[in-house]
Amino acid sequence: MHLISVLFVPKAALFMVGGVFSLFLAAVLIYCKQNIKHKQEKDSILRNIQLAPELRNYYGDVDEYLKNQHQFRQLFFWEEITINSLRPLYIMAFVNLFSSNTIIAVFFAFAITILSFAHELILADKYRNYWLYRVIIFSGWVFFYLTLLPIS
Amino acid sequence: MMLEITGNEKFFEAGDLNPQKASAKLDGLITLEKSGPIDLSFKNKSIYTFPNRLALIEIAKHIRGNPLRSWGTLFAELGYQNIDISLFGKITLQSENIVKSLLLVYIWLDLCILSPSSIDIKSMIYDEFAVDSSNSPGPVNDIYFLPLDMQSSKQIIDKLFLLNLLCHLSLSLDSGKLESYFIPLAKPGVRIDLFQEKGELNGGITYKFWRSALRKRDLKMRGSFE
Repeated sequence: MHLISVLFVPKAALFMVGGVFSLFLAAVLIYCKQNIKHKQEKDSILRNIQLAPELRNYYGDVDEYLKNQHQFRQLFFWEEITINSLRPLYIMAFVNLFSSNTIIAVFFAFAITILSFAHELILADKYRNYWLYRVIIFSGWVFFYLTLLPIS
Repeated sequence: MMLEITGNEKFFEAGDLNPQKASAKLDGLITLEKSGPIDLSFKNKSIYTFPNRLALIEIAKHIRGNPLRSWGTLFAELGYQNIDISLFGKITLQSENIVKSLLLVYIWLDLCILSPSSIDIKSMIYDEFAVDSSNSPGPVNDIYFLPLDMQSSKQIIDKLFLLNLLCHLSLSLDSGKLESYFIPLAKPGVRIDLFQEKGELNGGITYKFWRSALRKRDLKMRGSFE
């Protein structure tokens, strides 16, 4: 009973809900933008095929053709979540640094800074589809939540 | 030295996605001697004999990023009026894939061919890519050589070759013959059911292989441009 009451500390829960919501909002917006781009490209190809039917040989099945293209192969919602998921965590970790200022919060803010830089520069595109990398990011969110709780 | 690129000529005839029609092979060939003339052939007919490799590279660089149908004008502008463009026949996806890939691959491998001891040629024809850059905004096509370990599954490779999703590269050097498969410039969209064999679901192993090849290409390209 005591543990449950600790886990539902209002400040920590609100912090997490806000972070997760901003993460989902960013991913949803990017995903919608990509889908609009995908639809526009598909309409444009279908229009071209209508004007010049021989282009059907070039494109084949339009949906599969678009899946073969580099710029339209990024339409995976969970990949978008992974690639953006460190951004709200990065901001929240620093905000938390000023409000709680515990050793563990300082350590976490430092660790998340290093990971965020590596993520933005190298790792995000390369590993976003690997489950282990997703687990690391997910662990970051869980660990952040723990730093907000009174027991830390 | 001989550089040969082969693709499947048929398959998307009149927009009909029927694999039963896939049979004929389409060849493009570059033959050269060191510091001698270079012969460019297509469909077993010589298109042009260039005096040296620099002439071939010059024309290949001009052609890069331009569709095959505009080559007549380009050749004329560069003073190659005597190239018989009609040899290309009807400009199809496959002929564009073969001839353009031939020139792109030649530019890509030129230094290796000139000096095989300085660069390991195997590192250039497996898990590598070449871009058909046009120096103008818009989507850019590329060719991607499959990693060596992916080329061992002959059955899948043959199937993708039939579907026009892979082309074959053969390179004969003094030191021996090298072969590789690559994803061509133009990749037609192939319906998922055409990938699957009897008894397979969701496109089967070949479709998964194709997706993983595209994934490897994406990762390789992202890694190279970062």
